[in-house]
Amino acid sequence: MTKEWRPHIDLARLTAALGAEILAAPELELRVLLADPAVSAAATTQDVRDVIAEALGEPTEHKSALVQLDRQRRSLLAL
Amino acid sequence: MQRIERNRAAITVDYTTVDAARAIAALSQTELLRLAALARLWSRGLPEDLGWRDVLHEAIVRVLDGSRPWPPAVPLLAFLSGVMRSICDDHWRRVRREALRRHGDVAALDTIVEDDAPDPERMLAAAQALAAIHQLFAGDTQALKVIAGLSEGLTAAEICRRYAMQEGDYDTTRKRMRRKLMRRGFRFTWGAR
Repeated sequence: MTKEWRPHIDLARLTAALGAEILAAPELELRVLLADPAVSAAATTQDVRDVIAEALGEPTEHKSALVQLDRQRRSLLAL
Repeated sequence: MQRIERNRAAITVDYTTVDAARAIAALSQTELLRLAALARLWSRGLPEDLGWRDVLHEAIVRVLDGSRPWPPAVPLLAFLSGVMRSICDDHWRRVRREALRRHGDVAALDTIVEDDAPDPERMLAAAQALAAIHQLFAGDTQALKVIAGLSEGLTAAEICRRYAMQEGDYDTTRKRMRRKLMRRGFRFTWGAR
């Protein structure tokens, strides 16, 4: 009997596995990425810092795209 | 982490929120990069006006406002990853419900609460995403075996057994795949869920 293919389940499993890999990736691997200009890792970390500062209610020196967001967009995520 | 009752009258101060705020603010550069990768992973396929930053922001806000308290003994990044995943899952579930409602398919609304409920649009997007992943690792037969095994929900040991892989080969392949995916600039653009 042929088993029905459920791609969304396969994808969910792969995504979960990749999430675990990201959590487990050694610091050295991430540092290599940070040093790679093609990856824009420094800009990414600055973006995350801005997101955190905004969520914590702190002023941000570097205005990320997030700061420009209006509340309506963000409320789309709220339940 | 501790939960302290300030007085017996009513006010309870939950220090998990304070701890979470401190821990989030103290994340290192590499941890921030890891967090960005997780945010990008879970938010892939969201509408253009909703990005990974929005998902990350929402996750942090939920932790700080106490609606998603940080449980003791759970690593912070793993916890935030779970919150982001939950936010995105809720978003997709809501999108599917709205689509059904628009089409007047009220009977299916109750079944959509199950996360694996079949939905042709969702299945097509997932199939396209899987095709993109296979294309990314085309020519790497070991990686394709690992992908096939993970897709089936097999453990590492089961994948090794199924595909006659040595444990060392499995680990090397897994690391190679991880580096390749992460090096792609955290752009996990393999479609919607």
